[in-house]
Amino acid sequence: MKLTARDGGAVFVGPQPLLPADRVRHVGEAVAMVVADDVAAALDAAEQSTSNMRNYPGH
Amino acid sequence: MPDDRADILPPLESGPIGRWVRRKEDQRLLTGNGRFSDDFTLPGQAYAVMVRSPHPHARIARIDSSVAMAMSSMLAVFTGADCAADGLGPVGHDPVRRPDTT
Repeated sequence: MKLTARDGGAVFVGPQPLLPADRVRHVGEAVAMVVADDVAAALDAAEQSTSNMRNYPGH
Repeated sequence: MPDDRADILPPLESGPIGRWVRRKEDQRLLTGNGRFSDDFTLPGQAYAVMVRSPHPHARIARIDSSVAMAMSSMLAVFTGADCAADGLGPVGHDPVRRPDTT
């Protein structure tokens, strides 16, 4: 089955970046990846990064 | 498993969709012999955890990784800016078959 846009053209498929640079578009979207030698440290650091993020509501 | 419903199944040449597919994993999983990446540790293994947005739609003003990086055992923190700096573009993601492809 082939899907088309309303005018018969190509369906719009937005870009899917590995990590977004400008804005987030859903709750739970990954904004950063922390890597550590042990899993506990990685989890702690990820939590710390969240609390230091400065996100503002979009329009 | 034989296709005893061959009369209502799509033709073989159309691929596996709609047909029986013989499972290869059941013996291993049902007898407790599954091996999952969370069950073992390799020498030099590192662990990645994603930092996720608590907001449904928000501008990323700043991601401060300095506190995280100052913690022990940390190897790296990557953000979208790092991806852009490395020239990593969007990943291929096309859930629909385009009319001009097969």
